Amino acid sequence: MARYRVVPTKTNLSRLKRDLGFADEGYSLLEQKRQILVVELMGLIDKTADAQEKVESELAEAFEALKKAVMAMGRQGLSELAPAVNLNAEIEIGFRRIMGVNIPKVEINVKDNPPYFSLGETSIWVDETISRFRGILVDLGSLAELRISLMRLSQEVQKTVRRVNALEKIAIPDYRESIKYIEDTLEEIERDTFATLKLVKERLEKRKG
Amino acid sequence: MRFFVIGDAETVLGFSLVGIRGRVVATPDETREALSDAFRTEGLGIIILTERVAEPVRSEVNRYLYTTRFPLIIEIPDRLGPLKGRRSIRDMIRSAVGVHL
Repeated sequence: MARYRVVPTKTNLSRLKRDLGFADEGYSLLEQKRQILVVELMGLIDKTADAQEKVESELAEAFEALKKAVMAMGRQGLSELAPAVNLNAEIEIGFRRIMGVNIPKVEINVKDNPPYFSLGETSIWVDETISRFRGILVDLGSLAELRISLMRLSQEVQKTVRRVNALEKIAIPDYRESIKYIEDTLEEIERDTFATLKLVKERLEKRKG
Repeated sequence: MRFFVIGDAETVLGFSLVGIRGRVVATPDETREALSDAFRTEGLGIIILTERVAEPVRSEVNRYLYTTRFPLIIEIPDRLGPLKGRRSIRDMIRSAVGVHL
């Protein structure tokens, strides 16, 4: 990058050294950030996979019950029942921040006031379906929390890794190279001057003698 | 805040029995419209989306997922079960973060 464009002067040298120090510091901070994020991720992965498995098996059962309810009552009959169900799932979402990432915290309160309809007229599978879907709601909340945390964190890890790599593989080596170039050139100039001075001295002495 | 569900008729019917409103969609365009409507609706906390309708509009879903604070989007399998060839969470994270996990 900068190597061929810097003028080899002492000022530039000290400026570059300062920049390199800054880049080094940034690098170690980002590397720390990456490590913290990865630790958070590791903790979440298993929990999320478990939560997903749970929700999916519950869903499979719920759909099974729904199928039977549809067979017993008909699609139309079921959708007419739906407004009668006085069930309220209230979601509360809070956020916490890990390393600048918004991580949701979900809480779900299901309030219901059964019975919703006369039991004689509805199939047992309707009740089964309702209780199964109701059970899913709370687990869905925690799955949403975990999954979204996981995805946002992993995106942040990716970003951090890119930055760490850019510093480590490009910016810092470039600074080092530029600094070396200036130091070499300055030394070269110094040697030149030294040689010239020696020559001048010799000539002066010859003239005297 | 409330739940909202976007998916096939079966899923929407199931969740309607527990008092959750939803919208049945059949084409990717309808899904897009339903999503953007849902994101404009006040008071939604979590949007439940079936994998099958989410997959064709993946880029939109991801955009909402990463950029908006809420509603949160959660994908679930529909009555036919998980999509074939779906990557597990571990695989997704592994490929995002690198092999060292």
